[in-house]
Parts: sequence; structure tokens; C-alpha cells
Amino acid sequence: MGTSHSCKGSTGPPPSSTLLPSEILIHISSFLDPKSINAAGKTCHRWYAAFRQYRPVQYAVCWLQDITDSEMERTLAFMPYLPQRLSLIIPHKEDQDGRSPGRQDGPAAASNAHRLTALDFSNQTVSSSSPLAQEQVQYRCVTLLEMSPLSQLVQLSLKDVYLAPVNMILERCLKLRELNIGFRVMGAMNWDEDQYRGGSLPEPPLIQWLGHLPSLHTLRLQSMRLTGTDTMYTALDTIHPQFYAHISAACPSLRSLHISFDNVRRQQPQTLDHLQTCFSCLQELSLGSTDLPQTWANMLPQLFDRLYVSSLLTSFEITPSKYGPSRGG
Amino acid sequence: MPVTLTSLDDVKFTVDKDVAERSILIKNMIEDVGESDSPIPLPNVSSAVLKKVIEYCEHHRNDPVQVQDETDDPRKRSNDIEEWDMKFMAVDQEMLFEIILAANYLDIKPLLDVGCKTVANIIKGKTPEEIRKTFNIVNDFTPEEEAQIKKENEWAEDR
Repeated sequence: MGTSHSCKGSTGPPPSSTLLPSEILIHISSFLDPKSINAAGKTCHRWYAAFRQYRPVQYAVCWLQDITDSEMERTLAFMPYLPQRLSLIIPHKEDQDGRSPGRQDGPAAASNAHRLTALDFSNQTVSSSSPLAQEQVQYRCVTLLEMSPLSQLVQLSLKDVYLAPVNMILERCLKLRELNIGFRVMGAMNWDEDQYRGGSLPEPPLIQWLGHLPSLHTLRLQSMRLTGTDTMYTALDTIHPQFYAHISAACPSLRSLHISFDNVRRQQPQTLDHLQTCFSCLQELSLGSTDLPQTWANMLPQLFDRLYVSSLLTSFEITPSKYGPSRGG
Repeated sequence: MPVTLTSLDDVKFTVDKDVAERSILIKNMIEDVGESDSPIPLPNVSSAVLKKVIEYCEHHRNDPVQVQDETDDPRKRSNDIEEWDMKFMAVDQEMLFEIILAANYLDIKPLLDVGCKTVANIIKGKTPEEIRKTFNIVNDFTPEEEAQIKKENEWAEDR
């Protein structure tokens, strides 16, 4: 069952007049063998070169696995063939040739990325990475972001990536409308104990970052379980209500909020009230959890009857006939 | 309980419910409507394609339901196609694409996956010109643009 077998019967004339939509092309590209893509980038290059004419290609998945710095540089050169969206999947890896990370100059690659409107960094294995691997992932993400012009970016995903200079990056994303950010992003929820005076909590860095994004429409916050210095906002896995007020103040244009709770049962009871108070303009609220208490399930529709409340929850369902029409408005 | 599906060209197919419910779209429709003898219209799928889709669903009727999960290993491989699926996908390109579109519309993820893997396998190892030929893509590069691209990507051209 190799790759050659499955070509049989699928190459005969006449060629298809059917055009596959972009989401299908994304899916197809995810099955292209990462090894063959990344070993030299040949398949990747050929795929995108050919599909440049294959409208509409608005999205591409690009693997950065088992590549050296120079190969990453080459990968960036694919950007002319990635019309708008780019998803970079960066498993951890130490350089095979033992080189220490060093910044690459990539003005040519960067200038090719002027059309980029969406960027997606995910790293499935970062939590189990060695410190060196994490450092490399961070370095690569930072390099890629710094090399890319971000002024046209409308979607950015920084899920599960340790990324130090987020502030500097988001400063450049003036048109960003959708941010998907993991709380594991380094420093997102750090706080200074000396600033805490009992009355209100200081704004964590995440809130300051959001302040750079006046046009932000959609915010996805993931992996709420935090440890160590983040505990002021998340003691016992709860989210301090003031956190929502900070978000609301930082993002006046926010209309869609997606929060993934690791343990919603431990949320403070008044959290629901704060959600309602802080986000009265929301059009969509999504609470992801596998552990929603029935009290929340009962209260959410009452509090947010103007909202489309989507959920990953096992114990909470919205009746489509009752709440469906309110979606988006 | 049998379920009747009506294709784009108004051909009716009666299939077992568990077969029909390999499609998440149909499963949700059945759940929404409840017990009913009314045919389920599938206006985006022709009878020829629906027949193939049903064939696939019948063969895989006892497979565990694939749950889409964010934690899915993204390192997908295209060389793990089952033998039966490989033969099933040995169709002309038009039908292959139509099956993929139908699987997407009907939300049958395993069928969508196997279709996309088949296309990915077709692409592998081909030059841009060969891919264009395979997928009937018109090369709209000017000779100058093509020369420039070839120069920029010279490193990728050696086999």
C-alpha cells in the first residue's frame, strides 16, 4: 500500500472539470508526506507552484518538520505560492547538524509575504519538548513572525507556542480581527505581586497585548489551566472575574469570545454575572469544557438569550429552534 | 429502520439507518426531524455519486465513528489507505472529485480523508507541469514569470 498504488485509476483522461474548494485543498495538502515536503521542499514547491492557478487557493498548510535553518529559509520562499493563508506546524526538533539557532536574514522571503492575511502557529509537542527544542521552536516562530510583514494580517493563531515578544508582534497587527491564543504562550498571564493592592488585579500582559488590537472581533482563549505565577487569576483553576473586565475594556470591538475551560465546575459562581456584564455586546460566546455544571447550563440561555451560544459541552445543549435565529445578532 | 435518500436528479435510494448515519449531516437531519418516512433530499449529490457514497458507507457500516479532535495527530500519512478503499477510489478523476465534494457535504470524514489521500498520492513526485496536466490546470504564467519562478526555485527542481 504505497503511494504508487493509489494513483491507479485516478489519472485517466479526461481531466476533471470539477474544482475543489479551498478547504478541500487544505485537507489534501495535509496528507502530503511531511518528509518529502521538508527534506528538500520539492513536493511542497511543486504543489503550490501548480496550484497557484487552482482557484480559489486561499490557504495552505506548511510543515516545518525535520528542517534546518537554511531549509526553513527555503520554506519561506514558498510564500509567493501561498496567496493568503499560511498554517505552520512546527514539531519540536533539535538541529541535526548541531548548529545553534542563529537569526537568518530573509528580506526576500519577507517581501514575498505581503499578501499574507492569516498565520497559524501550532505545536503539538511543545509541552513535551526538551528545553533546547522549545527554545528552537520559539526562535523559529519569532524569526518567521519578524520576517513577515504583518500589517495585512487579519487572523493569527499562537496556540501552544512559547513565544516571548508577543507584544512586539501584535503591535504590528493593526488589522487583526481574529486572535487564537493559548495561555501557555509565555508570559501571557504573568503578574507582579507587588502591584496587587487587594482592590483590583493588575492587568496581565495578555490584556496589554490585546490593547494593540482595536479591531479585534474574535478572541479564542485556550488552555485556561495555569500554574505558578498565574495563580492570582486562576487560583484553583478559576478565572478571576476581573479578568473578563480587562478583556472587555481592551477589546471594545469584540463580538465573539471563545473560552476553553479545563475545569469549569470550579469557576466562581459570579463568573456568569461578570460574563454578562462585561460582554453585553457579544454576538457569540463559546465555552469549551467537558465539565459544565447543570446550573450553568440552565443559566446561560437566560443570561445570553441574544447570543448564539455554542458549546463543546457534554451536558449542555441549546435548542436550535429557540436560539438558532439569534445567531450572529 | 430504512431511510430513503433522494439525489439531485431525483433518484431514490433506500438504505439502512445505520448506513445512512455514517453521514453526520444525515444523522443530524434524522435527529432533528425525528422518526419519519419522508425521503431526505440531498440536492448537492447526483445519483451516480450517491450510489458510490452508499457503497462506501455500507462497507464501513460497522467501523467505529471517527471523532474529529483537535488532538488528532497532524502528521497525517497518505499511504495508509486500506486495500478496499484503494479499489473503491480507482475511479476517473471527475468521479474522485465528486466523491470528495459529496463526502465534504455529507460530512463523512473517513471518506473525505481517503479521497484527499488519493489526490495527495496523485500529486506526489509530480512536477508542476505534470500536476497541471493531471488536474487540468491552465498555466497562466507568462514565459517571463515562469522563468523567474524556475530560477527562484532551482534548488527544488533536482530529483
